[in-house]
Amino acid sequence: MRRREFLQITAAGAGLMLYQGLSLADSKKSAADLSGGSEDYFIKPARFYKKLEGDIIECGLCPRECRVDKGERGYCGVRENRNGEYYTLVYSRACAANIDPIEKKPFFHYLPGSTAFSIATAGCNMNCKFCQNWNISQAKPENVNSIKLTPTDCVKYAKANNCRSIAYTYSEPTVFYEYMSDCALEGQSADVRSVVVSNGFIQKEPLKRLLPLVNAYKIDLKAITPQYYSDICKGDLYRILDTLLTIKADGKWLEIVYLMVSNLNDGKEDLNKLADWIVANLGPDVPIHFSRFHPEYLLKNLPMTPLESLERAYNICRDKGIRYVYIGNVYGHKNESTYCHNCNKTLIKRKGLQIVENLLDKGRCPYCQSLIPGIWN
Amino acid sequence: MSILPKPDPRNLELIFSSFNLGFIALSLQVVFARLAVGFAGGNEVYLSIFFFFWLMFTGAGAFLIKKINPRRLFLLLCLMIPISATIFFISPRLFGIMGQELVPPHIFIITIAIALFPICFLNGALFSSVAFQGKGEGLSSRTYWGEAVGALGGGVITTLFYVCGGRDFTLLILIIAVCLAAAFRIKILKYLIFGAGLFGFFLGMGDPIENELLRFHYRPYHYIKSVSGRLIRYDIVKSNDIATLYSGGIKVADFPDDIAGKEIFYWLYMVKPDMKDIAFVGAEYHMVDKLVPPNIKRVYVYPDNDWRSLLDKSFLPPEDNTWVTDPVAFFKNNPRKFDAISVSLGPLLSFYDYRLETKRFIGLCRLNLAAGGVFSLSVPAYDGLWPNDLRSRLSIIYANLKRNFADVQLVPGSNVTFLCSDSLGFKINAENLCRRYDELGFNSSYFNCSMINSRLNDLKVHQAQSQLAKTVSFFEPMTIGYGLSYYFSQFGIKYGFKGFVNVYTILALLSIIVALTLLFGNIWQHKSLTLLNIFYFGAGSFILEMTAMFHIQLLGGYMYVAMGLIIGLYMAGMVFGSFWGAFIVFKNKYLKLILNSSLIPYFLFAILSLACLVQLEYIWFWMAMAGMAGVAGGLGYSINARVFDNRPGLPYGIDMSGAMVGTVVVAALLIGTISYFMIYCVMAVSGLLLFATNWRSQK
Repeated sequence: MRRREFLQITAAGAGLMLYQGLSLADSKKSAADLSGGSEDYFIKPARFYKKLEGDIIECGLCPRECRVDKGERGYCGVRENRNGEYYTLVYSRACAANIDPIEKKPFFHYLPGSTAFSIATAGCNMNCKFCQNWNISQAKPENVNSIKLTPTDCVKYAKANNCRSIAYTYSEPTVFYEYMSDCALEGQSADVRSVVVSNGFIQKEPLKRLLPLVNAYKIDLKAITPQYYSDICKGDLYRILDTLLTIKADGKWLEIVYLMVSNLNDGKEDLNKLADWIVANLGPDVPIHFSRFHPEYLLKNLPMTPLESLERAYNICRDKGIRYVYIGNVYGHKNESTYCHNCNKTLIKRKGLQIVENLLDKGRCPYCQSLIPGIWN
Repeated sequence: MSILPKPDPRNLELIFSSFNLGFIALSLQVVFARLAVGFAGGNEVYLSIFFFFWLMFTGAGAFLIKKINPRRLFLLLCLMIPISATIFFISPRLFGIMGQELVPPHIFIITIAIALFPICFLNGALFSSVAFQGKGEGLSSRTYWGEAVGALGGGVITTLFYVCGGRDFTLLILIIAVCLAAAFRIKILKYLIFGAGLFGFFLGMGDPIENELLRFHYRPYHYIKSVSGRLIRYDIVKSNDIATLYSGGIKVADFPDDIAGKEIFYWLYMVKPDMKDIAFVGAEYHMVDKLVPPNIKRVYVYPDNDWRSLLDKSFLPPEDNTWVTDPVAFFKNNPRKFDAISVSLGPLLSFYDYRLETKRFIGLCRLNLAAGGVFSLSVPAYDGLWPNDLRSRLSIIYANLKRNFADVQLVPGSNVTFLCSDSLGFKINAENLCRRYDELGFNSSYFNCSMINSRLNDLKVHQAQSQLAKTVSFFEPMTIGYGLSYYFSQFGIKYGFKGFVNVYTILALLSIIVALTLLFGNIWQHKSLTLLNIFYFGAGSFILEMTAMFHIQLLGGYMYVAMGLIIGLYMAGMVFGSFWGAFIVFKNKYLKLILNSSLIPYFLFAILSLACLVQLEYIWFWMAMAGMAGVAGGLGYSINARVFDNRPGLPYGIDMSGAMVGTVVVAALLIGTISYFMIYCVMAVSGLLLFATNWRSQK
């Protein structure tokens, strides 16, 4: 046999074996199926977009305003341009469903002691380097395990488990807007409320349409500097501030969480600026939670936030006039409890997520009768 | 007939230079591997990438550079060493990420390539150039032998140096001095430079430089100090009142931190409140110890304790509560039975971590439990629907637990805690645990009935249980693949070739190549087949050494001394094999038989794997395998390389390429994608491939 013939035979044999191997791999892939039925069920027409020339879509849901070509998806990974029409890929495609105390969201001035049926789909329109739920927020829907949970199912499970609210949380509810708003609408008719736990990165119009359907909003305000938002979160501070103003103007109940990352967003200057902005624009009655950073995702090697930083933030905000300031993720800290802004007496005593004592009397301080802002019933 | 080195000045120069080269190359490899791990964290994939580039650039240097004055190369090398080392500390900032941020693969690859290219290329070029210093036959073989001896010396010195707590940059001072001394002709200058290097070495003069670089690396946090462990460097960094301990660039723990420890102990305590003593593996003492009632004896097992000097004494366990040894070794040799054993696992990124979640280790723990004892295993996870890789890892662990214990229950959450016993006699649910919580009179703000109810609500428990497979196939990939896949998914990368690599295809391909080589080998030019043989020897001996090391870890635990012994045995085998081939046996009429006999370890491996007997309990067997792999590698190279005396860098470059492929095949591909059993089959067939080319290449 000549060398050329030998090489030809070897190459052909190797090619055959490789083809067989790849075919086997392919067949395994195509056999994969989501539990709950066909994938088509989860694909529904999206809202808030406009068509541009050449079948390009401009998404109008969040300030990214992604321009999405045919066959491509937006930054969030869950909205896709199919032949010039825009679709959400995660309608009823829940990858997380839990029953959590409302304090876990955290909502401290909203139905204390109640539970929330908490759901999420894959996807997010930001990419925070410290995200606790990165494995769903930064994943594509086909890469996470999901269940089919229709709006009707959500409401049914919430009622069956005595959950007074449905919470849209864990990842970023803005990206599953259609699913969220249909759940909220269905919940309204069944007396199940809705609360949104969001990064606030949403356009004004969809936000305004959503607000009548929900009862409370919790916004993660990651920092008060645009640089932090850009470097650490891939977001835009000013759009989040706009969202806060819009929610406040609407009159919906609002609480803010500020996740403190040591040496990155816990400086005195930042905290003073934050407090000044809140007082000037939202008023002193919006509760703010300073949450201790527990390292995760790309920042899992960072130290956790020193207690000193959290307490400094608390003191600065109280000095500036913000009435309800909490320290979160420090179990057993006295500033997990709610105190009257007027007489400083304890109104709701908390230990971790557990309410030990609730002394509120129809939303008022039992000692000095001051009206305590919140939704108590 | 044997030819020992002639007392020819040129040949003496060759031996001296090749010894220097081997010493410098191996020592640099150890230091740079530690720096690479310190920069990006140690996982099998990153380490494979490191060795891949090291071997590739070295091979490229040997292949491309034929003959340059070695003195110039040594001089250039000693200039490049500090620059390359510094790159590890400044690279994250150059790419716009913080020092402690997880390093994504593309940044790691670029950094490693830039840092290693100059020194590895020069190392390779030196091999070729040094060989030409000699005279006579077998230049490549003799240089290989001298390099192996130097590498053995470098291995011994670096091992002793790190055992004594030396730091990386101080060792670099010595290496630079050796390099510089080799660059000069004048003997007095050589001695002066070497003496200065020794002086700097013993006085630790590299430490201040390293400290400054670490200060830069850890900004905006406040770097305090470091201590060098046998395997890795430990650093302490402060942020206000929190001190953070880092090991190899990965955070170990914050001090103080009072959350995680509660779960590690409390679930176990509530299930077995009458425990009298408990062993902790993977628990941070300062988190756990104050929770354990004083009447319970406790012991903390740590693989090493070099980090103790960095921490405030209040965070340290008393000496008599601490066992400093590998957990596997501890449970093998411990005569004491415990009422409870708690093992806390971390993210699974390497074989070092993997040894604690095998059926074997869990079985070992079971043997160390007293009657009615409880075993607790905690694995990082989260609530809800797990991604496939995480689910697979947890399923395999669950299956391993069920193989050893009759009763395995779980608590879901950010860590899934498995509680196991032959019979717990207690159903873990919210109601029972809350009752027990009240009975025991806990006083904890974090661990309370609200938390228990939240953690153990029916939805979450059902969700977790339904995701755990009850049985797993014997052919499942080792969980390290799933751990690595989960890790790399953080960067949006689906590591893992499970859909791409079909092990049966690999086996079939290898078998076909073996058959074709045996049948048609004579159609190749002799030199090409010889190069192929060298390539396979490079890959095969490396793979066999790595597999022997993995087995040692699984059988006996990660014993640093044993690791050093295995590598030393391998190097010694290589020295012996290359000497034998270079000077003694190359004209022996039984050369072919001798060369084929050196393949005995591969045949042994093939036979044992087919008979499913590779899980031998005898560590000495695997050490012998490592030694024999070295002999085979050294002998195979030195015999085959004689054909290329006019181009000594060529076989060396091919050998490096083989080793490079060996690194990728074993560490990056096989371990993560196919089962233990399948690795043996692949390697057995690889051994036959080596035999086939060997048989054909020796006329």
